[in-house]
Amino acid sequence: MRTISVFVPLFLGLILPFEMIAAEPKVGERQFEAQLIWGTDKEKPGDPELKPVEPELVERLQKVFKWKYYYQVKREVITVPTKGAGKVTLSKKCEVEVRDLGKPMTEVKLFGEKKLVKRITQAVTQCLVMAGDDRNDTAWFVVLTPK
Amino acid sequence: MNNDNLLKLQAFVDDELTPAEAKQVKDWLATDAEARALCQNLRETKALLAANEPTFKLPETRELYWSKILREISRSDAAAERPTPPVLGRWWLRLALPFAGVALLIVLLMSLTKPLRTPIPLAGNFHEIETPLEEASAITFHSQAAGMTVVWIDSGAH
Repeated sequence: MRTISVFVPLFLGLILPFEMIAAEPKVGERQFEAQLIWGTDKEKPGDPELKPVEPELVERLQKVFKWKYYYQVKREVITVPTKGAGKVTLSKKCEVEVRDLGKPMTEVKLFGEKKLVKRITQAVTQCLVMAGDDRNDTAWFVVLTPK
Repeated sequence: MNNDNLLKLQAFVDDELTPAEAKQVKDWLATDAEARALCQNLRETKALLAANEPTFKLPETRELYWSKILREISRSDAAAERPTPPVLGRWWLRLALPFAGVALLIVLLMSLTKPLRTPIPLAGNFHEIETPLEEASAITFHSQAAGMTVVWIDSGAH
């Protein structure tokens, strides 16, 4: 009991704020949110791990694409150091690498099955969507948003 | 009437002849009516000028007036002789201008013959997309309404 009374305040007072500070981007670092999204016309997909996408993003995607429903496969935060790169794995096949080329220019690399599929160099100030068609009239979307 | 006679008549009117020359002119006037008429005309003109010649009165003494004129003349002469100060930087401008012209010409020629290889990093609309996979074609567009740039990779999966 005494141990708990010592460690809980220690955790809350020292370790937790430290973890929160560590999650914040450092000076010069840039953070992007990468989401792998699946688009379909079926309302209830079979995979229970699929999560609903934020309504605001769904609305934006519906303005551009034909699919009615969008499900989140994975969501990751990419931390990009100044003049450096950050990489995340969104699925077994899909990886995204973001490299800082000096604000606001960014190089985005999309890998499919470890092969480079797309290299995009541009200022990512808004939403960047890399998308492609999939089987059974569905589609995949990699949505990159600056944080 | 010749010119010499005219001059002699004018000199007679002005009392500039010797007594012998004056007697000679008087004798000539006694016999020549035209010369008499001309002599009379000359006297009247002289009298008219003498009566109506405008006179100018100096506001100050003559010496003071001329000393002022002399002072102005000497001042303007001194100003004309004083060397003009050189324009700031004129010597280096003379050197720099040809160099600047040559440098500008070189830059112009380089920009015309060799396009820039590296993109300007801060160009807002710069956009470069590379598709290494041969079987995948891509369409890129920006939707202002949705606020997103879309890169559609058509892999022919459907």
